[in-house]
Amino acid sequence: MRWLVVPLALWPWTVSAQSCDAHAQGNDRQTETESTAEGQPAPEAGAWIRTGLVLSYAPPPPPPVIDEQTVAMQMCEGCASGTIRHAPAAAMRQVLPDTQWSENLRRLASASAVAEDFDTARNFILEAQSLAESDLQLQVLQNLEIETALQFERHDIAGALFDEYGAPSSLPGPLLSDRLFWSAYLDFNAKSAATWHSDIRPRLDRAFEADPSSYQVRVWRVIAWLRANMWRQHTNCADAVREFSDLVLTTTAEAVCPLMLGHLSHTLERTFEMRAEKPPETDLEAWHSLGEALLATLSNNSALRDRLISNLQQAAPPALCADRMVSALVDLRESLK
Amino acid sequence: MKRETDDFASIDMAVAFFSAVLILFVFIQFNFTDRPPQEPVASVGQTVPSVTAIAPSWQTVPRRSGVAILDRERLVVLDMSQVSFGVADRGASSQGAAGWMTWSKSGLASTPPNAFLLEIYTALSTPPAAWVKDEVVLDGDAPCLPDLRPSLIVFATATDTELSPALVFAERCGIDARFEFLDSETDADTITTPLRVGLSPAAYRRERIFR
Repeated sequence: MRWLVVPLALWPWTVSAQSCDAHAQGNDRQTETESTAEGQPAPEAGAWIRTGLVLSYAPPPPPPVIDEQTVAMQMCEGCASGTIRHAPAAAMRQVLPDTQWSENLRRLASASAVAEDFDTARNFILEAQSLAESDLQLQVLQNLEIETALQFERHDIAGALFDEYGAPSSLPGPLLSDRLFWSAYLDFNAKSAATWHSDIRPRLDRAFEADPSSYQVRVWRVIAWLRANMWRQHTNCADAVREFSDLVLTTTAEAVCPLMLGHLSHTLERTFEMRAEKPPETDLEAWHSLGEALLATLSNNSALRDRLISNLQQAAPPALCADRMVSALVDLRESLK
Repeated sequence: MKRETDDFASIDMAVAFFSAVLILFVFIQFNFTDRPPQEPVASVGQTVPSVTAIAPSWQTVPRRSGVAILDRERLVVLDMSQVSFGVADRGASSQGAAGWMTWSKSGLASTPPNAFLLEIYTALSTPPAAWVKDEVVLDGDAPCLPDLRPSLIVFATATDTELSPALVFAERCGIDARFEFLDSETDADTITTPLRVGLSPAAYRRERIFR
């Protein structure tokens, strides 16, 4: 269990008392540069430095690969302001318009949640569907039926139900998001990176657009990025590292809870059946280590982060982009000091 | 002559002092060398060193769990499908004096339909026969029953209950067991504290994860 506990670093609660407004911080920085650089060219254009009689041109520093401001803001906000719910269905996340459910429907839906064999549970839902009073209620119950099949690991039935109900864009966003997620979840065993790239990722992106508060979709976008070997789509390592770190930071936005970061890390470990303990030997291991290092940074676990950085430094034979990951992580570490 | 012996004595003292300091350094040097890491010992509370006490609790799609009661050396597995008939139909919610249940919707009117709180009143040692699916005697070689759910919520009294046999059984049979502890005054043979099974949006807020 220790490797599960390690990422759950203690969160310094003292930090949460500070204000974490990214825009305010950004604006401060903006006004500073404006006031100091008055009458001079914009910072993006570099700067002229006079040394004695020699005037030399200093090119602008390249933008950081990992978005330092977002990392700092998320670390500062922590778990306090998070509105993210980790429930597996839209109704439980309470992101649907209010509807009044009759006691009879509630009893049937509760009974299906209590039952421990699939046929009994599904019969309750079918009975409730026949009594549904509005389209929204019917759609919620249809989603519940798919979810129940998945909870009992009846993937054949869940697939058939998805084919029957489909994912029409007329559905409310959160319900659509769940259905798209489940359809992607059913394709979990897809082996080829091309399927993940051209088929599963677009569905997850649509699901994320439909309901950005769904945590499971966020987690699966990270999984799909790795499964699709997305780093091969980039010729430039810096771009690949930037895209992946942005994706991880989107996943943790408003949800930097130490325990949830641990669950996320654990989910990645179970999915790829690897632990970032030794120097990575494959590309996938290196990218997994980068993800873990970002999570360790967010949870303020500097010991784990430093170990992951040194593991990446020793990557042998050098995994693609490992040196770029190391420099990006070191830059991030310096910026947070 | 006297002065000479005095000088010798002070030199002797100085040499003795420095060698004492040297010897001290040698000991300190030995103390600084790395020791082999100590094997962790099972604590008083944990007599079985390596079983998973807290199952990984967040999954993108959670698995449906079953409910069981840990009564001394016995695991009484409830048949929640039978219990669910009592949830759907108020008339079927009682098993006479042996056990009954109350269902209530959880929270406000706008909460999802499957948010609920179910309170099952029964004596822990003798639940109504209709609600019992299996009984496992935890004596070390209890067979793994095929119809157990892969995750179980196990109700146990807070006192006088040995968890290790149940943990070992769950580990051996590949079951995630999550323990819920009842009030310490709960008596195994009379109906006192209800078993609470519930699901509500609040269970998923922040870091609280239901099953």
